[in-house]
Amino acid sequence: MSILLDQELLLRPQDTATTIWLPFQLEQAAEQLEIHFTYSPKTVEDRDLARHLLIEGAKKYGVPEVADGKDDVLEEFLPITNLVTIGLRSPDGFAGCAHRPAPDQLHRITEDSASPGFLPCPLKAGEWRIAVQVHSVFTPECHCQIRVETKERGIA
Amino acid sequence: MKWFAAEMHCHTIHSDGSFTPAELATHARQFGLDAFCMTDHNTMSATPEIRAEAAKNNLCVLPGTEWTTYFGHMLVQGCISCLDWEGTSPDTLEDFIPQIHSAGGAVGPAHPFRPGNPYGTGCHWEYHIRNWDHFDFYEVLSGENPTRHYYNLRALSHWTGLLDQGCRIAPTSGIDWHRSLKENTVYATTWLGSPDGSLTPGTMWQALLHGRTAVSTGPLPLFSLWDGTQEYFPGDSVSSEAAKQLDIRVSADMNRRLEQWGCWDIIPEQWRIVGPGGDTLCCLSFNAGKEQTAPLSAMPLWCRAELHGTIRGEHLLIGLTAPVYRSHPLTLDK
Repeated sequence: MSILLDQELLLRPQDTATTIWLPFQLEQAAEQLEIHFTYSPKTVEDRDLARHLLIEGAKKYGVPEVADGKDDVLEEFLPITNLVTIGLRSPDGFAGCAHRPAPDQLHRITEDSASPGFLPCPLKAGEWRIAVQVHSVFTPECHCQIRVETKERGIA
Repeated sequence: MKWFAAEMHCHTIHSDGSFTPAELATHARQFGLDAFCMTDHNTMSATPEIRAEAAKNNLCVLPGTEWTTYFGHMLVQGCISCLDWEGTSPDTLEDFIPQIHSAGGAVGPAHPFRPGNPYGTGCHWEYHIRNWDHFDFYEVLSGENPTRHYYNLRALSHWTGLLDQGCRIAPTSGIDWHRSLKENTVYATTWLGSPDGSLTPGTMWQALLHGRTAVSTGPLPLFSLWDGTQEYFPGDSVSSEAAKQLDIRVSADMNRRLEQWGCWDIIPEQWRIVGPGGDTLCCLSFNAGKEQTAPLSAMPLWCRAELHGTIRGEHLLIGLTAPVYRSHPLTLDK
């Protein structure tokens, strides 16, 4: 196995609704790509912050049941969570996406099979890219790590 | 016209659903559906498996995706080659739609008035649309107990406003199916019309494009206009000449999917023929779903049938049909 990408990202609320592209180079055709993706924290533990976010969201979107800010109603919408997802682009284009809430994900892609969300495809040499899709960060900081490893063709 | 029950908005483990493709297909059959649309978030990787599993369950599947962007979610039905929404901004979504249409996709906003962050990530439709004619359908009912929820009532009102502007957009519903359905919960189904009686991915797609749809939590609502020689169904256009002498026909098929909705305490009471502004043009009694007729004195820009009654004792909308439209001499029909 060789490591093609090992990137840490520090995400903040202002990164919400942005995509961070992480290119990596596959020097020769590979047998398998392995993507390990984590982020933390997942949940807004600060209850005052969560409460504030819910009330501001209710004002913006007109959520009738939250309009009066009663605690028992707010409770129904907890916990508030960050959502960061990853997608993959091969030299040929779209190669899948894992749009799911888990903050610790491991994906494997080969020519014949792929983890759910990704497309089995020839792992050809060239520039590949990871899309880190920052759907929402509510915590003051969110630490994100992406590591891509490969098994070269012909190596057991 | 034959009508088929479909769920238009489904997820699997290929995005954030709990179902494997095999489980989704099994649940769809058990829910009395004829068809469903595969709309995982931002991927179509379930397509080969879901086609095989749908076939095993004698179901028709239309593959697509849900563009799960930062500024709203858009269902793309019948096209699995356009996945890249990166670069969309609140002002530029429409620029992406011609390539989806060229690739054979039909598009519509999903749950556009559900609240966004932090309630639902990117769920609220924040796109500024210059021309809604670019959209083929509109998810007017979403989720559980759909006709009770303020966000669906807002969606219905917005869609009605678009019809008033002359847009022709089919109404659809979506369970937004991620996991097993809840007990004692009401869900809507989309009915897709097929003029030749066949059910294929192609006829599902044609129904969306032509506007041959109805949505209902209860019985299948059937609506047409009759000019003495021709019957006009939802999605059809009535010519200006024919528009002078029309009869409304409404009825309900009480038997289809009765096993599902029959235990939800849904009691239809009244048909409302609704036109521009959401105004009621006339009311007809429900009468056990038997056909009711009434003359339509002047054909408005569009009119649809709505079925009202009680759901668990609460007065609510039960279902509605796509509109029949009046031809405009200066515009081309879709």
